[in-house]
Amino acid sequence: MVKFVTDIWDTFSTVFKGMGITARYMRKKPVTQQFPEERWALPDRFRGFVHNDVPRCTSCTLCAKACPVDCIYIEMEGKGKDRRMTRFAIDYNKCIWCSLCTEPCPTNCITMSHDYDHSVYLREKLVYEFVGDPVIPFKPKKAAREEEAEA
Amino acid sequence: MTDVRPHQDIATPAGDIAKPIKSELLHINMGPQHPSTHGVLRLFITTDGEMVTKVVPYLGYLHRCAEKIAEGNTYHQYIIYTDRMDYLAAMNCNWTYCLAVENTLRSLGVEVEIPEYAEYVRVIIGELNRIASHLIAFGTYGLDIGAMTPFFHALREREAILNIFEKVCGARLMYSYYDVGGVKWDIPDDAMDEIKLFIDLFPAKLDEYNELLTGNKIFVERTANVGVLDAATCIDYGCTGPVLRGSGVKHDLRKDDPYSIYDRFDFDIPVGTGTVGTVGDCWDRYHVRMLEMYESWRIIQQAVDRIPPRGEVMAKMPKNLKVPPGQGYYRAENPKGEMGFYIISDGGTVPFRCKTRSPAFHNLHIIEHVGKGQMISDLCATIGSLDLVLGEIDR
Repeated sequence: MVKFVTDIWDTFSTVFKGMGITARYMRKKPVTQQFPEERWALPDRFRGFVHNDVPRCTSCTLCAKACPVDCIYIEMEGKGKDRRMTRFAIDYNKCIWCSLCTEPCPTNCITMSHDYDHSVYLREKLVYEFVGDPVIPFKPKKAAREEEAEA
Repeated sequence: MTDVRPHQDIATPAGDIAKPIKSELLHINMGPQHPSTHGVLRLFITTDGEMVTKVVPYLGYLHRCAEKIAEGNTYHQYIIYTDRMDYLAAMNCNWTYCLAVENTLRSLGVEVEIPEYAEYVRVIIGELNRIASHLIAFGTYGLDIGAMTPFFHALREREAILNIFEKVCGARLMYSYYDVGGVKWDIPDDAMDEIKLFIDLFPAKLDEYNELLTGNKIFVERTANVGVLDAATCIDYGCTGPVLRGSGVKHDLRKDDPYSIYDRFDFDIPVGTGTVGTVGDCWDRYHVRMLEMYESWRIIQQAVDRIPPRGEVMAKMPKNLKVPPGQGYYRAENPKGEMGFYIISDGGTVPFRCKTRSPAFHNLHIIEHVGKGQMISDLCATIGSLDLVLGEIDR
């Protein structure tokens, strides 16, 4: 009988203790954010969609080799002076935002951007093509020489 | 599917044999989409009325061949796959893998000198992730039992930790922050301020959790004396982490086999004492996690006080990391238990074999032993107290 009464008392007292905490929080401001309307400031190191700055890309394929899921497609044609980059595509279906591709890049042209909301209805639309017409790959030494000549 | 047991004869007050009550064994699937199995776990249960007579876990719904993938990826590339094992404590998985590679290198005669600053960063971030993982364990355990409120309180504090991680490494869940030979980036100033703020605020929140759930009479009635595991059974099944410590075994690799710089910090190993029931019941396992959060808070506090000025974060490592032919195993204390990586190298840039010893896999299989003779609702409470993560069990 005594145990029955103490059990009932314990139940009510501990439940009301918890309720007290909830009541205390009712007077405080909510910590949630209303996402699409309110957005939080992204930190500098935020890893969003991978972006490639094609005019500075040397098409060395180091990023494609570093990628653990092989989501970077680089195609080239011609040899020597006629070498052209015909395709630089990133398949965001596969990309896992690990930023391993940005580490070996010699010109730092491939970077993690701050974009993150690119929802699409079709998977094919997540394969981003960065190169339209074939482009001449960037040559850092030549560019440095030209810069020097200009100066 | 059903088999009929011998009929039970029940005597009526008059003394003669009345109509026997026929009871049948029923086979049911709990999961793979059951809300209290913490993922895609399928338990094949044989029940007799409300009582469970046999539990068999069926695995493989989240199998991604992580160990096979390791054989085709370089040592650096595989770090991102360790993220996806225990996704609630990805930092610790990264850390264990990096420790395994570093120690394999060391045992084969390659010097790896991890900078002092990086070691402190590893400890701070790893312990923060331990708190985040235990917060989820605490919150979801409340949900399993039927308490909704603690979950939101737990997620609020976890959000603060994830914000710190976002500033440190740019991701909120899949960090790939630790690297072989150190960490990838330093802790920026604003993140350090947030860590200090978190240290100041967290003990008060812990008291709140204890008031909300730990002492709650309904919660105690549901968990005390339920799913009792004795120490010998736990050791037989290879259980580690809070499951083993809840049964009263003082085993923690941070103290017993100190790795990194854990020997420099002052902290205790909480064990289950059977405060409200028997040693090794669900409440003990739950309470060990709550006490561990406090111990992690103590370690972070000491590490933040003693952290050296910002310096190198990476050891000098070759760009194309090659491990000499040989093998090595290394284990570390994860939030779920003891995690280990066994690496065999044939001298190339990719491991020949990389086996993972995952704690939740071993902790899960004790359910076959402890599930027998329980009520179905107690089985839910027991699964919750084991704190399973299916990403790690199936790999």
